[in-house]
Amino acid sequence: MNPDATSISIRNVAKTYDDGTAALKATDIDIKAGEIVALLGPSGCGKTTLLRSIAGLETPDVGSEILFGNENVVDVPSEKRHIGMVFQHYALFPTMNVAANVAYGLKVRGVAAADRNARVDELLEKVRLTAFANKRVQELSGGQRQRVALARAIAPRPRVLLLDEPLTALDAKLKESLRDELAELLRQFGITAIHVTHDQQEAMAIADRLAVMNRGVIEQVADARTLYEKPATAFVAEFLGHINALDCDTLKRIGVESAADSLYMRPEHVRVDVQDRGELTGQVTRIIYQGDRQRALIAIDGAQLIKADVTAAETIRVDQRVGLSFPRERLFALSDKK
Amino acid sequence: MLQPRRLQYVHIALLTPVATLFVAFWLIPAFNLILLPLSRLGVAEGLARYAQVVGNARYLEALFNTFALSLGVTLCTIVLSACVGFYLSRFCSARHRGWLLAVLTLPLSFPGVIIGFYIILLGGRQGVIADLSELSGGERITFAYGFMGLFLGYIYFSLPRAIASFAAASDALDKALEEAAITLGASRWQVLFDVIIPGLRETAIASAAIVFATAMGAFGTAFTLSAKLEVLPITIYNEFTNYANFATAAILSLLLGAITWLVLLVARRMTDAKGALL
Amino acid sequence: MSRGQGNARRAPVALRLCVAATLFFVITPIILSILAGFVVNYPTGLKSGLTTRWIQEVWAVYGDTLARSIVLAFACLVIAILIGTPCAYALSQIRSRWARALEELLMMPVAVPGLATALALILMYGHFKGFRSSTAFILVGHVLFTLPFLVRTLIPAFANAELRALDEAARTLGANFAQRFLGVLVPAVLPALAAGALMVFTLSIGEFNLTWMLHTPLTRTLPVGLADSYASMRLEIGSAYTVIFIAVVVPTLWALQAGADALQRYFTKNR
Ligand SMILES: Nc1ncnc2c1ncn2[C@@H]1O[C@H](COP(=O)(O)OP(=O)(O)OP(=O)(O)O)[C@@H](O)[C@H]1O
Ligand SMILES: [Mg+2]
Repeated sequence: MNPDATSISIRNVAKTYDDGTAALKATDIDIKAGEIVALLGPSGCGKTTLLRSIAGLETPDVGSEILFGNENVVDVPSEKRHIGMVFQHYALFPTMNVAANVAYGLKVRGVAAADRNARVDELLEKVRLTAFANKRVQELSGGQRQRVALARAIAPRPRVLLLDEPLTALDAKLKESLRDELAELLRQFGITAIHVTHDQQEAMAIADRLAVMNRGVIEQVADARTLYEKPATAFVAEFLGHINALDCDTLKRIGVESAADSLYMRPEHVRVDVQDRGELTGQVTRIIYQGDRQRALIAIDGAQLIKADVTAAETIRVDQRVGLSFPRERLFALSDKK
Repeated sequence: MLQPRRLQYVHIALLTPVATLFVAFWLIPAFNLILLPLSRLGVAEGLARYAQVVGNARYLEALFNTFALSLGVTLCTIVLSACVGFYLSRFCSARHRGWLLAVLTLPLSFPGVIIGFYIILLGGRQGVIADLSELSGGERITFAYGFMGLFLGYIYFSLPRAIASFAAASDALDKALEEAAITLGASRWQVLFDVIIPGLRETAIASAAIVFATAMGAFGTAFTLSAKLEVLPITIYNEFTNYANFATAAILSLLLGAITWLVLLVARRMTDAKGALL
Repeated sequence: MSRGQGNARRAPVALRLCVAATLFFVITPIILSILAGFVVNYPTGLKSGLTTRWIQEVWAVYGDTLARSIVLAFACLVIAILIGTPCAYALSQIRSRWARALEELLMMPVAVPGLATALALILMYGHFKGFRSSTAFILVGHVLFTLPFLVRTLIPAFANAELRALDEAARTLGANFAQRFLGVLVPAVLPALAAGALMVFTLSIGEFNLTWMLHTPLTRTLPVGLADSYASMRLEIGSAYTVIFIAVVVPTLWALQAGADALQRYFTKNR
């Protein structure tokens, strides 16, 4: 692990903007040194606000605590926090070339030219841009800019790396390859990193743990598998894939006793039998072809609508009668109601 | 996104030099000017002088002349420079546009006195118009020293900057809007009135404000022409230098300043253009 | 952008006439004055022969005004940039009432006729004889009058959202305010700064309304000298003086303009 990396504790951090928008409500999260955490959530949920508060670019409400190791940095201005940040549109300095951009953080801290150049060369090699050192940043492609931004943020050996949707400005194909490269680089650097994104695939590919946010609140922090299989709230369950909520009527018909009003199951776990055999029967109302599989909307006789996945090869059509089974081990309860 | 930010020490430090300069050399002198008639003549007589000056027929006539002249000049300049600017942007090949714009904006840095001299060369006693009119059998026509001379001079003075603004604004017009209007079946005139003129409106108001303010305060041109038509800046100058009538000069300056500022205020309310100068 | 397109279409006749008339109106007196500056006797015309005598006479009588005006314009430019740039940055960042008031005050010397400003200055500071009779007195007037143009050009450039991101990036990299302002922000608004500076120079070199009131016989500027020559010298000398003005000022401005354009191009390339 990188010796510069620090653990981070967010305690009771909230942010209300001048116009009264409560963008972030009292938030807590602990991040281990060298850990990569993704802040995941829909647009406007407060991801950027939390990240910028950690960066010192927003002043959180009174009472907020942001601990880097044991040091509370809430009152430390951004330029003294010793962080690295990658901005959504990179914010590369247009008046400097690639090498000067990467060197900037070292230069303003008064690092000697020789050490500076050595560090710049090392980083440009890591991000495969050695040949571009003297190019103007305007001449680079999107992917290259993204890597310059990363190298620039890393160069002064920050205590934590903050990334605000660093891949969002790229097109889909490039995004995927850069995603894996970024994950690889971050692990090489061994740095504490907080990665903001609204793309769950990206979050899962890059982060050790994911914090799912909704309306200014972190709903759950866990690794990808736990989040998917044991979501703590309906929001988390819905945000990572789809769910069926089985109401008490349906539960009774399949003979499940439950204290909760409803239990949940993901569409890919519902078993569909085209021969009309199962715990319940229903009629297909719609089929959505999705390439690797098909999603069927099935109306259970006299009751609710269920989403279920069948393989792409299966022949199934609208109005067909099918049977449905609900494997018990895949049923789960949620702490809050939808 | 521009979020509101509170005044911070850094900002105060950055603003201090300009604020000091303007307070010391503009704001305080301006207040001094307002109070000057009272301090020189005593309160009662000072106030009386205010009333006397504001009610004086000769001064009022000069004010009216200045105002009417400025208004006419503004109107003509805007129409003319809108046409020329639009022409340069739309109907001119890049090659011709270059030199045309260079020639038309050549007088940008000319002081008003040069313009006055130019008007004398055109319409003065030894001017070309006089020569030409004599040559064609008439009497020598001179127009430099009256209303016409001032009118043309002020237009000449204002044209370059206004043309440059309109050329830039015409370049910035979104062509897609015109194309959309055409695909919807608009005629050339309809496109002109519904798309192009509204698109140039902000520029027109901003330019008009500058032209008007410049014309109200123009002094050099009128000074060179020693015009028979009296405009207020000349009146003020005469009161100050020739009659050493400081109080009256101060009051007239305030009057001229207040009226100009008011007209500009109205113009600005009409646009709330962010980039506009006034 | 639409520039250079639509050449295929010809302009309506009325529009072309309007442009031609304007061009004629602008060009004729310039040509006349250049001619008059070199002929031996203006009323007789070219027949009287050409001479540089008038130019030499102007040089002898008014030579000092040229240097003074150029020095004055550059001094005005330097001061405007030094105090106007930080001011424009601060005004672009804050929405407070005081900042708006200052912005309003800044426009006053442009909105209010120069004569009024000059009068206010003289009646307030005229009795400080050393100051009154120095070029600094004129310089103050020029800075008051030109500064708003620079500040107004810079404010939108500084308010740009992209620039704000650059500033934040520099902060996270550890740069303090001075490092950010001089190393990141000012370089990024250089094109706007150049455009504003050009305006300042242009306005200062041709300023007459204020200067005529503020000058003394020992601090005459180009426009003041011009007015003096028009009033008291023969027409040929006035013309020759005008020729000198054009010959010095216009190329200077073109050079500055070319510099500003080059900056602009450098910055917008591949952006
Ligand atoms: N400067 C601001 N002033 C007022 N409200 C703001 C400001 N910045 C953000 N907000 C509001 O705060 C809420 C959270 O914004 P934030 O930018 O943190 O969301 P986000 O999760 O990053 O969204 P996105 O995915 O769209 O970037 C939003 O409702 C937003 O409108
Ligand atoms: Mg965001």
